[in-house]
Amino acid sequence: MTSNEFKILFTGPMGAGKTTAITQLSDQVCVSTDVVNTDLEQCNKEMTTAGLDYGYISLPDGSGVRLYGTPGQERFQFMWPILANNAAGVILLLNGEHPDMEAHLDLYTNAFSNNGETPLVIGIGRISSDDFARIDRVTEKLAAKHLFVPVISVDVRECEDVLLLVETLLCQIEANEMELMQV
Amino acid sequence: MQTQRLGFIGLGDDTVSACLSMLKIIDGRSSVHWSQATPAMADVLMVSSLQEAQTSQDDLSQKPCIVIYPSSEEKPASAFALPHPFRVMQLLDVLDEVLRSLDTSSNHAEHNREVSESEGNSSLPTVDFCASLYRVINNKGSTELYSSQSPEGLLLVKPASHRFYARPALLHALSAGPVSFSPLSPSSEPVSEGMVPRPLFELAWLTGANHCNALLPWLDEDSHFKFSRWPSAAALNKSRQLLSLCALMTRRALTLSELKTLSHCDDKALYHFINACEISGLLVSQVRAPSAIASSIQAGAEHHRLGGMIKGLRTRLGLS
Repeated sequence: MTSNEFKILFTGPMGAGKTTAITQLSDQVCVSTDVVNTDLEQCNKEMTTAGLDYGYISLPDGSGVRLYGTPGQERFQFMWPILANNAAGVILLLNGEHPDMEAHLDLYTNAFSNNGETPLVIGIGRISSDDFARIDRVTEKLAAKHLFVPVISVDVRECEDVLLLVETLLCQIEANEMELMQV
Repeated sequence: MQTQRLGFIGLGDDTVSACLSMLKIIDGRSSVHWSQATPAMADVLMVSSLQEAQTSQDDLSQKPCIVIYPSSEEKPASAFALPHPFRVMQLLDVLDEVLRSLDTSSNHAEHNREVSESEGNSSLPTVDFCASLYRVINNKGSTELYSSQSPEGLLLVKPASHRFYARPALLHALSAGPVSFSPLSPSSEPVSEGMVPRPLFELAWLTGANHCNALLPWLDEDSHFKFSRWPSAAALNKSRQLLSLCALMTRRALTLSELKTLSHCDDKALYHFINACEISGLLVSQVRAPSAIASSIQAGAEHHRLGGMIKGLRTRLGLS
């Protein structure tokens, strides 16, 4: 990564919509390392990301934003720190229909929040848009871990929703940068 | 006004100082005046959760004890407990509870307070609704259903399910401007047909909007404000200004003037935001000595290393 680029990381379990979200934003065709999904118990979809997803947004001044997606299967966890290195912020996508959603929340926030230091936004898909109590419960659960993180109900097939995740993350990156400048 | 003396055991100077500052703020709202005294002379004790066991063994154990515990920990199993950092309304609530247990005539004092408030300021019935809404939202589960009357109809609040119920006419009136509500009280009224469920944060948000000319009376203009958790994304309505405020306030406690400098919000928007968040129970306010961080953060904000690229990305994605 060069000095006129920064990285946004998309993470979350299999089937949460990381590839779809990156595809929504990327200028070029998203580079995916999809293979046939042999873990149908975890998520019933044909293909899944085994290495990483990669997209790129070119900016008018010649700089750019790299978009990386982590592989969804937990057996590829060794990739996580490699992809998280130097990320300006992380977008964690969760599947609200998955029975282990709360366990996923713990697993991924522990792995990527860096104790609240890394700007992080959580998007929960496949829940009713008026399920406020559920979103509140997740926010409260995070606050109990001293993670003050925005939690948004999203449908990553909708570009507007992905843009909201990005805007929320950018606001956090800015606040983080101000904090760093202050230090 | 009756005076009660408060003694502190095992609490740090900062904690005692924060409590005394808040006592000043609530002086007009509590039914008694609170002053500091030595533990031996005090009527009520505030004790660190670490000292609780020791205090219960000595002579001071006859006095009502409010156990102060870190907000990150479980509430201790004592009659009176207060999480730290303090919140003004929680402090007021626990002191009122202690007074009731001391068998002071709390009903009489409450009546006097209500009379003096309604005589003193015509906007206070709405403020009373605000205070009652704050209490209901932040004491979830104590009662299942609360109701409030307004000229435009009945309002029902179910804190456990994070919802309120109203007929469309009342919802419309609420969105259009201030509505005068009676304070919320426990109710057994059924949710009738035709009442629409709405998220509770929306009620907090609309109520906050009716108080956009000043902070709520129990908040101090000189306080530093920080979030205890993120507000509902739906309440923020995709506003970058509000998202930025949230991001800033989860990182550090900031004063109103610092928030104004950093977010470029006008007074009305800022008061609305702070009041709505306070009613929703998201704010931690701390009274501290003023700092000079805003100007230095501002300088940083304009020159931080990713600033240009973030601006470019927003333009590129149509977020500007």
